[in-house]
Amino acid sequence: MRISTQQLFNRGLEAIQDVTAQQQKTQLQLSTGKKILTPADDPVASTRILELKQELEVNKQFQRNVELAEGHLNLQDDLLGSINTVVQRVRELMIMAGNGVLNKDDLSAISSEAKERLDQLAGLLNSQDASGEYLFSGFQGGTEPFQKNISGSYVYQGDEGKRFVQVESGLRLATTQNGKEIFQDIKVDQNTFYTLASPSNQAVPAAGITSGQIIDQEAYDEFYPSDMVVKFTSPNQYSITDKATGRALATNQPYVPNSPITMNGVQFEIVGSPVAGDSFFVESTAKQGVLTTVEKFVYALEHFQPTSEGRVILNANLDSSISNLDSAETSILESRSQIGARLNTIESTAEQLKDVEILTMEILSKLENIDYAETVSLLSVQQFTLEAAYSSYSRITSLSLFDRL
Amino acid sequence: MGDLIGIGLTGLKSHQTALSVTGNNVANTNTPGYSRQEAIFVDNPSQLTGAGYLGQGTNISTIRRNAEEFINTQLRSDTTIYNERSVFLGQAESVDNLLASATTGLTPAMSNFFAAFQGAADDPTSIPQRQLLLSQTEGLISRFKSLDTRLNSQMKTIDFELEASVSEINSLSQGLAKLNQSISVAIGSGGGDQPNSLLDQRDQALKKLAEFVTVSTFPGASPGQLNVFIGNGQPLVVGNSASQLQAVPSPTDSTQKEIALQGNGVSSIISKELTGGKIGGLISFRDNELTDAINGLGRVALVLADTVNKQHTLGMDLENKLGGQFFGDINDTAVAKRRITENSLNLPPIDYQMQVNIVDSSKLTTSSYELRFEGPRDEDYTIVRANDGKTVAQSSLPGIFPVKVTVDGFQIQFDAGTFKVGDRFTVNPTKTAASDINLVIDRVESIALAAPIRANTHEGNIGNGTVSLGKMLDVTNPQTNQMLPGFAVPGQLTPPLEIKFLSDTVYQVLDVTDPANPVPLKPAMNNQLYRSGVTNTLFSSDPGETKLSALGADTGQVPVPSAGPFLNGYGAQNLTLMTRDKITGAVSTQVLPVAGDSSAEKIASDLQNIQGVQATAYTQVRLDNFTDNGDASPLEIEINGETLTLPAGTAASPDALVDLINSNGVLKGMNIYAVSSGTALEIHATTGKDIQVVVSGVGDSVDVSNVDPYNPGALATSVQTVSSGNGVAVGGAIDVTLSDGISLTADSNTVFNQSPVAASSYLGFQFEIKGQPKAGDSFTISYNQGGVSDNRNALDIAGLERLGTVGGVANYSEAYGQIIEEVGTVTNRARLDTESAKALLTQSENNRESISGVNLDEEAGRLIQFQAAYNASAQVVSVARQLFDTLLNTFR
Repeated sequence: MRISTQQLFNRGLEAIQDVTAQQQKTQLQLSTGKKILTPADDPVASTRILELKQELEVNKQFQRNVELAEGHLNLQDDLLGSINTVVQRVRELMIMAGNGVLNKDDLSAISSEAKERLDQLAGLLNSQDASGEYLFSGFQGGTEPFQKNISGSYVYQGDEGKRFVQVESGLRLATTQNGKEIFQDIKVDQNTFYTLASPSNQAVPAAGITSGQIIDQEAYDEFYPSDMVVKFTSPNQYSITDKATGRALATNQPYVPNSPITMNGVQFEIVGSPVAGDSFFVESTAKQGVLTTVEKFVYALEHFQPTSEGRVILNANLDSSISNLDSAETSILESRSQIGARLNTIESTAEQLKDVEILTMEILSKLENIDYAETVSLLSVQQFTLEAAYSSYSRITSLSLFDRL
Repeated sequence: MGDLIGIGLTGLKSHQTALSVTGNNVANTNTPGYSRQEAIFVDNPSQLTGAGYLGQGTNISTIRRNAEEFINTQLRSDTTIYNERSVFLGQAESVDNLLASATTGLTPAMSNFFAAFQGAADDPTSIPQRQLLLSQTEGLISRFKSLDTRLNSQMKTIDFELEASVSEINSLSQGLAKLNQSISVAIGSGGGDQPNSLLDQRDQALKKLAEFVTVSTFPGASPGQLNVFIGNGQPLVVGNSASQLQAVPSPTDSTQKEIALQGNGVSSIISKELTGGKIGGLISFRDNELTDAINGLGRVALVLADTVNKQHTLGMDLENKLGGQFFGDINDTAVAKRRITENSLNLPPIDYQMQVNIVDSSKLTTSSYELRFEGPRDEDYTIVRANDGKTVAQSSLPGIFPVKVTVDGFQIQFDAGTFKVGDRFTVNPTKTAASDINLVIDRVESIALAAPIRANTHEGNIGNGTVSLGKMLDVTNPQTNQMLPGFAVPGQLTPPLEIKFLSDTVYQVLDVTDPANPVPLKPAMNNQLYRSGVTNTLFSSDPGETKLSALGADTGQVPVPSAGPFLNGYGAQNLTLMTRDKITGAVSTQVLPVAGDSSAEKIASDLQNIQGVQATAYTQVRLDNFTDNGDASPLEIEINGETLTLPAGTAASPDALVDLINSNGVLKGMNIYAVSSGTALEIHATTGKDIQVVVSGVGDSVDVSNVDPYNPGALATSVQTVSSGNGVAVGGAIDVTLSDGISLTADSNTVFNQSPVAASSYLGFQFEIKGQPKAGDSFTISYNQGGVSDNRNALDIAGLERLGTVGGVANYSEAYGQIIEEVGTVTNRARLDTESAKALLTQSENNRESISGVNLDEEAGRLIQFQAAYNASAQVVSVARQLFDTLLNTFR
């Protein structure tokens, strides 16, 4: 084939350019450590790389979530530990109070410590995290979960919310527990009740209802599990009905503020000035909160009559208080063991996430990273080729018949 | 001897010319398009002499250009292919680098956005976390916008390059026309000799033209002329005249340029016909890959905005307000109007009012669509998907507006306009979405991380039933786009609900707007069956579900007492159930005959057998005014065949009878129980059996009255005194739940009214109850007031990251990855194509060079050759002169 002079020069130059371009790509690969410089180098692998990187990001997020969850749970575990210590101290006080040789003064000393412990316990139950969120109020993080009502008893103000954190694509783990499930929903050994005022009451300031007590367990057991509604027909008259059936239990009773109202073995007081239409509920329950148990213990100590009858009432009260406190302790321990179980899950999840991360990195590295030995040797081959191209080009182009003319 | 001189002179002259040609070759070694020339020697005609024919020397017949038309054509075609591929590659590589780079791509911003949502979910009350979330969202939006801007500016660059190409083609076409003219003149005046340099120039101009577009040539009318056609045969140069190309705004999209051919004062768009070359590569990349990338990016933005918005509206913010939109509304009127543009060639009147709303973002494609009115009638239209050319809808406008047509997840809404045969519209559902995406939340407090509903277990519950945290489905009814009544009043659930267990297996849903006075919910959920051991889902997920009750004239009536038989007095009627198929719209009708005096239980169970119909029946009756005349025969009551025998000496009273009924095993088996209010006895049959009350005891009687299940506090409207020896049977109430598309009518007003009012019962949320609640237990469902620590909605939004929301299969990152993969694949293919086109071009160039190229060594050789011949010819003249001298000297 005829070769034109232009062709001779162009071909040589093109060959040199091609090798230079290849060499530059190899050099870029070496300097970045990446096999694939743009998706076009290997579209399938680069999409996979993108996916793997995305997976890594999500994995990292899960690891952060795991750390946060761990922090949350550890904080709660510590708190529950402190709470348990206080509960145990109260239990000691209850046992101490059962000692028959103690007189009223001794008991009132115990009662004042119990009151201190009650406030200490309430303080712990109202713990906040670093950002000021209440730990045990469910979703109501801005609301103090255990607040004193108008009659001075602690009432749960939170809700049943539980916060979850995504620690794995298929796993949401609860990081909070609400105060209701740990400290309120505690089974009691005797049927009992709680009181509340209807939120739609109109009186200003709102009238309240005291937490009350059972003065005749047998009478109450007979009525249980029905609920009562105290409805004011006028500011100084009220009726009591069975909530479920509407059966009247007492009609148009005269209202005297703060004086005890007794019905079906239950005694409670209405405080304040209700208006017509205001209603209050006495709801049966098989559960009693830990703070209420301590309150009742204090109440029993404070109302101790130094007679043999009074001793019997106190002992009966102490018995049920101890048993209720034991249930509370069990509930706290259950919560702690649940937290422990979750911490275990977290630990294994964290390990798994770490494993997945390492595995993903490995695959990513295989897809993405260059083999240095191979690439460096490729570079030397290209270097050699280029040098050969240079020398052959200059030699070939230096030949000309005109030189011989 | 004179001959010999003449012969020698022809040799001298011819070789001088040949040396000039060689010199010219050497001089033009590096001239582009130059074809090696050759002097063609021809020996002069011989003369007849005595010795025969004697040669008369030589002469140069012509100077020939070494060019092969076939090779030049091949070279042009390879030039076209190579330029098309390499221009395409250049464009593809720039998109490729843009999309995949960690600094310019979408992926890192997307990850950060969802990580911020996770972070906010970890600590929903934290203001810094919320601020971070907002700034990451802004980061994501700006990434969308900058990618979109870059891709669109590439669109603009392509348009500029097209314009530049057009002006080059125009100057080339004029040059070619002039060359044609010069060549035909030169051939004429040269007496048939070829004007080599002009031909070289024309070939070179054609090769230059071939860089821009496919070129084909045919011989013209005058000798030597070539007619030039571009693309699929568009005439560019005919003889001496050249057509002009022009870059004009596209009729379908005024922001884009198309190429038009000017001829006879008419300009017609020929972009589609211009294949190959730089123009073909640019247009092909712009109309396919680049448009796909822009639409694909837009689709990710649109689906992200839509899905995040939908979930965000289901949430509650830090100030107890419902979430609202997070990103700007995807169906904002201005945006929706921009999605459809009329073709600029549509004939007046241009009075169209249309918009395109996204109705199901998961079904969107990355294609654009064309709405065509192709006749035969003005109102006949077809919608064609651009990327596969398929007709996706074909119908006629009904003549009244508005008209809505839904295709591939979007809906064209025709509001007004005179539509004519020939009208065309372009629909771009996703094209501008990546630039339209914006953030409407401006305060960190407005981010809805919580869910607006919560459930509470009543503290007094005896059973171990537990209620779930609840799941939000909607705050607006998806069928009507109206706010659901439950969320219509801001900051509260209207009404708050109580789920009250009447027995271990039956519950009722109450409206507890006034907690002291719960009333049945409207529409009623009175007699709901609870199955223990499984998870019971409360409330419907069917937005079209309705409820109605049997409120005909015969219901709520206590029949006149008789000695028997005891019939509830329900009149016969035919119930008609119409079911509209959701997909086809076809209506099927079913008639259910109800016999007279049927019990509510029977009617309900018959209704229950119909697909999509749920029915519950229950009977309630009140007994009071127990009158015993005091004689020897005591008042005795028989309920559904069970005689209630009171212990001797006990008077029949509600409190005494209630225990007898509730402890009777047979009645329990019939699901009958009673409640006493002290003065009255209420008997309930939870499956809707007729309640039969028969009284005995001479002169004794009992008042039997109805209980309005929908208004239990109301006074009885029907009271009968049942006296000794008589009895009554009271029929029950029936509540019917109809799935979406089902309606119920009756042919009389006996049990059901002829057209009973069906009220929507869709609440927009669902709860689950598990375990075994006991009679009297209750759960309340209320607004999540103060739920600042709730992160349910944040988790759900963060969870969207991994859901297959785009095209129904891919998550956002995968959808974006698909764009990268497509562009990567195209770029990769373009690289290979370019390489092979390069190889072919090199091959063609080599072929041309081997024919037409100048080789200096060869020319050096020829110089020596011609010089030698020249010298020899000079020697011939010299010999002739010597011969002449010899002859003269002979005579001296």
